[in-house]
Amino acid sequence: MLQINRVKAIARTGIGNYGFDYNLRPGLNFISSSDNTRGKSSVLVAIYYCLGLEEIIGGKGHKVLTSVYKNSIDDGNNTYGVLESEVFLEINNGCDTITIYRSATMENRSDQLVTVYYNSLDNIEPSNAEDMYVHSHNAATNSKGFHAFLEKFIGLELPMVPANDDKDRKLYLQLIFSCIFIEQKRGWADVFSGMPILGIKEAKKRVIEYILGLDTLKNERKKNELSIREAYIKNEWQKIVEDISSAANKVNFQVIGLPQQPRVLEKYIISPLQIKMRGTEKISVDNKIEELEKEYDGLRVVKPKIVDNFDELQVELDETEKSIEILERRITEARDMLLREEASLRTLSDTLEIVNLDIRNNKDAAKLKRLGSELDYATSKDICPLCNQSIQDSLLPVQYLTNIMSIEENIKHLDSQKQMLEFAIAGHKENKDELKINIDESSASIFTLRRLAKSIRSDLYSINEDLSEAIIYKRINLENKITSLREMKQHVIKQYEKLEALSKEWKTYLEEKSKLPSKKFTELDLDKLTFLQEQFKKNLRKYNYKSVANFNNITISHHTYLPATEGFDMKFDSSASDNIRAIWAFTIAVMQTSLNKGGNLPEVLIFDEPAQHSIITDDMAQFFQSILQFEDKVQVIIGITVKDSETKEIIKELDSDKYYLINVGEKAFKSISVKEH
Amino acid sequence: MHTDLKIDKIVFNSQPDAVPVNYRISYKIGQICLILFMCRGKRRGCSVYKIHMLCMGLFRSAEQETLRRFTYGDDDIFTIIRFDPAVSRALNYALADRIIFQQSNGLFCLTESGKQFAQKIKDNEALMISEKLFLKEIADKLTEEKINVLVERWGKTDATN
Repeated sequence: MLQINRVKAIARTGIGNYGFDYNLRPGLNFISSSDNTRGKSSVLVAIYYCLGLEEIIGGKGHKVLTSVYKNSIDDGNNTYGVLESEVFLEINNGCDTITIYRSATMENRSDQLVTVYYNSLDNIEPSNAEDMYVHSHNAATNSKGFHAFLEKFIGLELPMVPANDDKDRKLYLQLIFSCIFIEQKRGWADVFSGMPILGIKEAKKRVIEYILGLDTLKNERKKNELSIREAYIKNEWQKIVEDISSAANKVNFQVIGLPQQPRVLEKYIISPLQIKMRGTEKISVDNKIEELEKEYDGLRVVKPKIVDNFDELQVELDETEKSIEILERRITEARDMLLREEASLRTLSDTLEIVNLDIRNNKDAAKLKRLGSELDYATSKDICPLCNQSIQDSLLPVQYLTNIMSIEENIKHLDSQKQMLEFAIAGHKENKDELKINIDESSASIFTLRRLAKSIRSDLYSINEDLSEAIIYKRINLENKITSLREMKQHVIKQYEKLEALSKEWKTYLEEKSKLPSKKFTELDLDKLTFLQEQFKKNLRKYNYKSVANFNNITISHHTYLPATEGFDMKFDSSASDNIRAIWAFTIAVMQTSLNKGGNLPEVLIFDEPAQHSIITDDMAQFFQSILQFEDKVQVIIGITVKDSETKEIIKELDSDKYYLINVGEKAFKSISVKEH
Repeated sequence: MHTDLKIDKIVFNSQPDAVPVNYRISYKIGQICLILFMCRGKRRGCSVYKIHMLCMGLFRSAEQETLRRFTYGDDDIFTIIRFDPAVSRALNYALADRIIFQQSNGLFCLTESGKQFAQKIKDNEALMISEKLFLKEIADKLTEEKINVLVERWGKTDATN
């Protein structure tokens, strides 16, 4: 909760200090003056300013303050320039009391700086204070941001809501307070008309959702959270799939039955994972390992002597050399193709550059045309300046009467060309990469085969009894191959386990997604909206709202959550004073709903001059009555001019225990030596 | 395969023709205005030759290089003035639209509204960036005198030369 205990302002002039110091109480408070001077506003603005909410009045920083804070003080006889001014505000959250200090005019102290003292105003000490910022980047979320602090202090928990730039922003505190602080100039134009524009999408709607604690917001947040989770799982999944494929690729294998997108991996749904060799053979990795092992074992049994197998060696040498030849041919072909790919890439890139330039020039042309038609040039409107007939936007000689594209069409046309080119370039790049891999692989194989050929040759010409170099080399080679295949298999299995874990997350995600309510409102939400609607109507009747024939036509729109008559914004056919009644009724109804149905509204209301547009005093009395019904649960501060006897009467008729009246008098700022109360 | 697919006739729909940006009226007029605006030498206005030369320079980067060398007095460069019918047509449109006017000495000048147009083009930083750079470099240095020397040679030299 939030309660304002005390507000104090000091302005220093050459001849002494001026200022005010008022205590406020729970329940109804009047800040009154006998004339509609700016004194009341000077007091109320201090509250806005200290809470960093001056954007509700319009503007940031000390420039929104009245002139007594900024320029000069007039004591009736003389005018004194203001040297420094500052504001204190003591607030309470039902548990702790803090004092907020913000300077208005002060050299060397930024008006964005707010000092929070963790004591009451009488006991402030600099050692128990902290400096914070308002209106700076991240002031709503940063721990040094005053509004982040205030949010925690009042016990609000503001949601993240979509902003105009498609990012999520915290719902600003200024927006919440603009519903309950009705300012004198802007606040009485429309329901929530004081709401500053801070780039939140559908700000009024979001604010009402929050203050009524509607579940729609929760659902939307849940939806948001789910979509983030979905993106995360998809991303991770993609990464693992790519990792598996590239690991298998390295040893010329491929993994079959790997789902590219997240799925629930259950044995009977997904065909078992298979790691198979690329190419036509399609041997599985286990078989291949077995085959290699057999070969390896075979080599072990072969006598490592060369005496007997001269013929075999000769055959093997021939075969090896043949394979080398084949591979070399393959490399030459691949190099050839690579050259061709590179050539087409170059041509395509050149064309793309030209198209890009063309697009830029065409955009220039479109802009020029707009500029020209701003200056009312006939040619820019496709009209001949001489004969006033329509012409086509072309300087080419007209040979055939064909239609030509407009510049916009031309840009679109070029854009699609650009897309096509980019697509082609991507394709060629892929081919190029693949060819490069092929060449590398073949080169590596040739290298191995050459080593083998060399070994065989040296075997052929070695003296008997020598160890066969070729066989040893082959064995090492096989061993390496087997190890790399085993490692690959291990890796793939390990990664696949990760996929299985992800698939479980995916399953829970799907489950939660299906649990989201298909309807927009829960029962509780509907209950709250109906309550708001009934309260609003009751209040309207009480305040004598006349601009509608049938109160049954008044509803709270389920789309905007704002009052509507027969589906239209209610303001359209209300008289000026009825508009004021509607603002009273809605603000009070929102507070009633928040109190009764567990909403999130801070329990403070400020009305500056609620008696706008010569409202009838009886209705005003009713308005005060409904405020008194809040008792001490809500602190209400009303700035009011008590000029005519009628207003005086209304206030007098109120039970004097139930309200607290502060008479500001002519001027809010008085010489400080005069004690206030 | 598709035996049941019988094609009686094929219909072609004519699509509108794409027009290169250099042949857009407003683009060319904009270019001419920018040229006139950025030629702020001793004399007011530009000859028709200069407009054609600069337009061609803006059209092709190879031409830009030739023009640059000619401007800086490289005698080895073989310069010809290419007359682009599109530029001539654009000049006609601009004259008719009262964006430019021709002075008694034959040079073209911007009218008040043309100046406004050119100022707007110049102030828009995202518009015709490379054009502005090129014109800033060349426009003033390519004087009418230099062009006149070139033009006068036409009568004296013939194809054999």
